[in-house]
Amino acid sequence: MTPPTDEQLYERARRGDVAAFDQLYARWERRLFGFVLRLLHDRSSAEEVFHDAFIEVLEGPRLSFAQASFSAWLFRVARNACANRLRSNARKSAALQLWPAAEPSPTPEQSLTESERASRLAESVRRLPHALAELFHLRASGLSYEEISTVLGVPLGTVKSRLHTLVHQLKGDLP
Amino acid sequence: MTCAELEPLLMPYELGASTPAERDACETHLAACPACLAAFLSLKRVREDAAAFDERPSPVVRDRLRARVAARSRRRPVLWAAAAAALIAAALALKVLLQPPPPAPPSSLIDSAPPSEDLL
Ligand SMILES: [Zn+2]
Repeated sequence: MTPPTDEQLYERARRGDVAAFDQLYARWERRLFGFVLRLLHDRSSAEEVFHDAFIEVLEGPRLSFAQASFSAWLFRVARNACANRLRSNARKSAALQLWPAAEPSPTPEQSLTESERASRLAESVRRLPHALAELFHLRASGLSYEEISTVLGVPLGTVKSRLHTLVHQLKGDLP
Repeated sequence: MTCAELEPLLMPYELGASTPAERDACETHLAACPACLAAFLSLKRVREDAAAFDERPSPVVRDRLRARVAARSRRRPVLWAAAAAALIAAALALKVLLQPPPPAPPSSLIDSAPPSEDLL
């Protein structure tokens, strides 16, 4: 039996099916919260935005999946809430601090070069301008380019050109 | 393509930003070269680690959301009843509005009245 799609779970959760909600929540909890936390860099704000995003999709106007997937909608709602919050808090500088301090945690099986690479990549992600960092985290959350285009509200071509800029920037920082 | 030529193509390939020609070059080379494959896999793991989202919101958040979802199934009949009552009221109001006084000619209100669904 194939597992239900996000969209099917969404419809059931809207009708009050808690088990469907649990499944949907488990699928997106970490990725969405990680994304929001990286953007806001503040746990309690991130929890509020995360909570409100779920409320919006579950209790707001019914989503249409003709153009975009459930996850694209969910991330879009959360991303816009983050943008509003960053604007209203006038804390745009926080958006540049997207990465927690790199932890030097070399496990025995990790080679030195690999952990060096990891911390250099983390460092260069932290230095990314907001638009590129957002793109990196959306991509890292597993969203497709089409979904990212929906989330950001920009054409697919813009996503792709930003991605090239992103790659260029990250590549320049890697050994 | 030599290993040195391939190296700068690996990061774009890993992030899915290669041109089709670059992607073909990467796939052909990686299939045949264990050294570059190891480099690629290490790059991939590094990126996945860097992007690993281990944080979760507090369980309280999930509990609050669950309670809201559960409340939806309880609230729904009430909502439907309220919606049905509102529809009936609106239909009655519309009927009164659209009812022309028998002797008078049709007013402009009637001529421009939209389909009832717009008002509902
Ligand atoms: Zn090679």
